[in-house]
Amino acid sequence: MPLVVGVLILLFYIVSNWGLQKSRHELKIQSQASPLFSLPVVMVKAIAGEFKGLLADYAVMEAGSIIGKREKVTSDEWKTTARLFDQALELDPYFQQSYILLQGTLPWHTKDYDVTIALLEKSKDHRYWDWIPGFFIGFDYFYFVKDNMKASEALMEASLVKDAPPALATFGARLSQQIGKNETAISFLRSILEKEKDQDKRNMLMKRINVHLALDILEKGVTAYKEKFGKNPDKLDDLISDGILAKLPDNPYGYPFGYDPESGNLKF
Amino acid sequence: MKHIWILTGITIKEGIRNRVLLGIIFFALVMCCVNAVVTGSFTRDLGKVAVDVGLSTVSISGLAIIFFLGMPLLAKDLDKLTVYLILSRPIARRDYIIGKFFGLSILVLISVIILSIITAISVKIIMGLTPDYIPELFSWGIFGMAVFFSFLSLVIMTALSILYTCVATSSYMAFIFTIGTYLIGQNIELVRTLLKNTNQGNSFSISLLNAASWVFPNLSAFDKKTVAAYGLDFHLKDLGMTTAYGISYTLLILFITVLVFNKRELT
Repeated sequence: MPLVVGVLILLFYIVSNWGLQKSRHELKIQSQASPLFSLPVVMVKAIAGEFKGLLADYAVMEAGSIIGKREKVTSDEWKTTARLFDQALELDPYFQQSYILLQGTLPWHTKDYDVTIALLEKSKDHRYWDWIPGFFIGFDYFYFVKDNMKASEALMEASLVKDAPPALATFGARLSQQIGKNETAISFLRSILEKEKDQDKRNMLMKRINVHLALDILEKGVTAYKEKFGKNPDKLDDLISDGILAKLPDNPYGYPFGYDPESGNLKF
Repeated sequence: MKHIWILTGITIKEGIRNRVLLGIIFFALVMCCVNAVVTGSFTRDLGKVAVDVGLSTVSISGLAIIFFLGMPLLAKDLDKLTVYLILSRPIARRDYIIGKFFGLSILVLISVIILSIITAISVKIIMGLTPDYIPELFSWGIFGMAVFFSFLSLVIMTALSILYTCVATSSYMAFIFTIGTYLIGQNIELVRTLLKNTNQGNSFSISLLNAASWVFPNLSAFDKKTVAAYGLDFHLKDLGMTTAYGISYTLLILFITVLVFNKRELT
């Protein structure tokens, strides 16, 4: 008798478990964040107590589960994701996974660039050893917001972080030149050069400084031309033929400088 | 002093005989396996996640030892009046409290050491498997420092649990008081900072919080998990002050406990 009862209970368990697994499989992947993360940041911090790091990990996992679901992520879900990243960065602003994941998703799928940049700022402010959050901010300003001035500032700031690639400094300087602040670019690159010990990087920086110095001569030439003739020169060679410059400076990279006669802007 | 060490020894033996300790160590081992699974869900700062889970395991297990091993041990003595068997001998009530405190603290220390070693092994394995994703500044010295401060906060909680067990009329009430104090201790600094920075609190609530910060322990000061996970900078002065604060608060609570226990009628 006990054996029969045992077998019946076992059968009941198998059937119910099979049914449960089937019904759960049919459920859509949960895409709503835990109600916990709907609370204000301070309350979440208070609830987390000494386990803030652990809860930050969990918030990032939840954000990842929304981003990685099979169905298309809705705009409401992107807002939820942004809130989860915000909570995660409040709980643990040092976590690299948070800013890598948010930069790889939010600006590309939402137009809330300010939200992305504000979240990246939290990472940048805390990860003083890491140049990447600053680079992402600069990239977002340049690529999405189309604000070269802020992009230049962010990139130049990021390039000051230890072990940052020199390309950040040169790219930041290039953007600075494009918004008419070539002198800022030159002085910034010179300050980077002073600290750089590696000879290859020094050579690269010196070459770039020479480019900006050449552009400085040309920019002043174009300004002088405009003052004299009331219009921009049609081509850079006009600076020589009309007596503004004795000769055009060479581009250290070996190709001619770009020039737009409409705006008078110079590029390299 | 001799009586204190005898009572300390008895408490440690009682604790080790109790299966709760084994259960907690088993939990820690399971958490280490969970650590590997959780860490696998991330692609960056894997070492940080491993340290998060590991040190949280140490804290949770330490708290479990206080709540489910330490407090029942003391409550059993008082509720079943087995404390008479001890106090009928020439042992001062003060020695009983201090002996119990040392016994429980050593139990917590033993479990923290075991859990830390298990945690460190799991963190080491995870870091070994993913060497490219270890936080740049991570150091085992800072990891050890975080474990020490975790232990110190558990010692404070041990002292408070003894106080509440002596003060409260039932072990249930003592449990509630200890949990409440733990939660307040974890958040009092956060709430104070918030009110101070946002100017939202009125003068009464700020005064109340200031007064509470002298009564309840500031446990968040002992939470160095984030510092350990990333190997962040810290000031030796801050560590020294936190250690001094932890020791002085514990001594004060023990002193009050002895005073209360001396006045308590054990009927």
